[in-house]
Amino acid sequence: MFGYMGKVLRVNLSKGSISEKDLDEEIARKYVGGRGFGAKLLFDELKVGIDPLSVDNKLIFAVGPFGGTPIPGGSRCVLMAKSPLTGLLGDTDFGGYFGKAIKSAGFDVMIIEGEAEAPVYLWIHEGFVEIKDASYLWGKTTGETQKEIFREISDDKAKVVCIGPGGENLVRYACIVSELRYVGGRLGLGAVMGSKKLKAVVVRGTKRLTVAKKKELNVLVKALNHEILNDGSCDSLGEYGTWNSIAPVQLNGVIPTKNFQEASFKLIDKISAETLVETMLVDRRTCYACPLKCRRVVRAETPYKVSTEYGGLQYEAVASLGPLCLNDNPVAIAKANELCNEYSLDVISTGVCIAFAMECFEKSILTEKDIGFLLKWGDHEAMMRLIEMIVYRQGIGDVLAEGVRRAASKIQGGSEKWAMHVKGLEMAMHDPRGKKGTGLSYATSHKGADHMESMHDEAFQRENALPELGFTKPLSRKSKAGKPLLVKTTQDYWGVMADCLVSCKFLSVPPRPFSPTRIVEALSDVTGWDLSLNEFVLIGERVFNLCRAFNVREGVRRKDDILPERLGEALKEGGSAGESFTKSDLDSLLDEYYSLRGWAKDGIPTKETLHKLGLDYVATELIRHRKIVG
Amino acid sequence: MDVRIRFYLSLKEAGLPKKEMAFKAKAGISIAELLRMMSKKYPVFGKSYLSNWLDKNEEIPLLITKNDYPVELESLIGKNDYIKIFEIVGGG
Repeated sequence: MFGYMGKVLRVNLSKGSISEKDLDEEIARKYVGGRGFGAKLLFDELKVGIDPLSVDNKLIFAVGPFGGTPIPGGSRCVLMAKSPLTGLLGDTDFGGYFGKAIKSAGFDVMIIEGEAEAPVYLWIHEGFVEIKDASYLWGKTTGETQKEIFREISDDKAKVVCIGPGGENLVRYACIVSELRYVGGRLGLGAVMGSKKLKAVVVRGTKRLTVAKKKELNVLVKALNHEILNDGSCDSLGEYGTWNSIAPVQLNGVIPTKNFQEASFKLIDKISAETLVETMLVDRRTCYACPLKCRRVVRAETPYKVSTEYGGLQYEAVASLGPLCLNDNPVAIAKANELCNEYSLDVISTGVCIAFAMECFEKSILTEKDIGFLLKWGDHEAMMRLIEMIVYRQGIGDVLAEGVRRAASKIQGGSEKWAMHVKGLEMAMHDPRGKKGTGLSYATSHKGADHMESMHDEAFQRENALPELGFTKPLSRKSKAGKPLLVKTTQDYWGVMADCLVSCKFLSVPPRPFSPTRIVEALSDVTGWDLSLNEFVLIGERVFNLCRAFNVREGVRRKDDILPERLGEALKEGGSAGESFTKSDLDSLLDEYYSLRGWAKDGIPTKETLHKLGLDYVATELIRHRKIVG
Repeated sequence: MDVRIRFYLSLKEAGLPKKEMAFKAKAGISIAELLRMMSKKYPVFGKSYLSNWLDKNEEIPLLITKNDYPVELESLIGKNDYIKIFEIVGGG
């Protein structure tokens, strides 16, 4: 099978057993890889209603057919499990070199199940899989962990994914950290690792991948790399990294500020991309086979020491640990980001939880006595203390470690109104009031308020933004018109292009070079499959519906596809002044969106839709659970 | 005067010859006037990015900076000012 290593690894930590089986070619063609594999495995193997932090959950690392090829951005890795934050399907992905290492070690998928009695790590190398003692690593930060592992295995070229104390202490939004700087952030899968007492997964290999049309692939990759470096469309990403988003979100008035009370930050110049470049940028890094170097490496000395060990912060961290908390100190933002990587916390959820607590303090729902100190807007020293308290579940930190939804339910006092989440996932740093498609995507994604599930409205404000997928006329970012089709189409397209192929989304945002036609061409060169663009996007639609079916089986319906009440209030200032996103706005969008998806009015895929997508067995399962009528 | 402009968008899609160019203009013209001139000289760029603004007065899907600071369309350009034009794609 071209493009695949053809092996699935299964490790049961309870039994200490390790097994391998061949990857089924039919499954590969139907689900491609990454999220497709993970969603199918979790739908098929997890019992309904299990506790995500129990022995019953399974953790899946999955790569795609582009992994290990020279395709730029094609070697990312997906991590999936039932999320302890949302109680629904959880997936996250990360770049770097780990995805390539999994392929080189001979696998397409790794399933980790059960729960070890004492801390362990997995060492996967050259056909060997070992479950090794990690008792001595428990309690250590991600940096210390990687260092100790390199010493033990005498190999500092191995690729390490690990958790810090945040994951060990089951913070519900603990992330996983790869090579100390590539982060699988969202949905708390680091806590799932912690619950299994799995401290790290370490991979090294030298196996070679075979592709179907090597010569043609090389020609395509050469053209892509040339365009990435020379066409201009990727230049802002190369020069500023994702900091290139800071000025546009401020201009458009969609940068979440003061816990989404505002969407325009008056002190933006203090944290602009230019300021960050001048004050702390020391290097730029890249992921496997990508020439772009969009990853930042930062260093600072005062008022906090920030080392280059953990790479650097991205836009989401700048916004969530900056304007969201009214923090205008760039070094403090970088330090908070570093702490999150060191301890393995998701930066977005951490920032949203801190901003929530600051608003509770402002409104006297939480007092100095409750917290142990004053928690005023913009107080970055207090933010650092709070991060430590969250990681070690001390005092109010223990409440905030549960995520903003559970925290509000415990704190009460009306705080649910400013707990900014969708389905339990803290909102990403794009205010939907100024970009309605993103709001619809937050509401309908199986993950909740994640910003990487559909293409953003701004890219479609010009002529011929994405003609291959039918988008030729400009769509206003503030308008609802045309958004259900835009969101549905790009959820499906990105779902297969990025999350199943496990390829970089940044290179495929129009007008960047990795266009839909080229993606399908690359897939053909790698696998030898002859798919049309429509057939390709249909795979994304299949996987999207499978993810939805997982959540439906857990009880999700239209009532859960909602946005926080606060978004119904119109913004007062900035580039989206006057814009709101009311319940009735969302209702009208959902009606059209469900209809386009072939879902019933309550948001559940119909039997006919599942049949059309080749998911009859999923329909049968939903009938068995009385979610749809047989 | 020559206005120095750096483009951060797809040259192919925008029909522009190079990433950086000097554009002849009268001293003291505004960003808006500069864009109107550019849309005439580079019609593909104009149609793709400026038509909704020119025809319907809608928002321009571009971020424009002068000497690395975002500026409004009314901002005036002086000698030695360095203009950067970014396509806004969202995400991040």
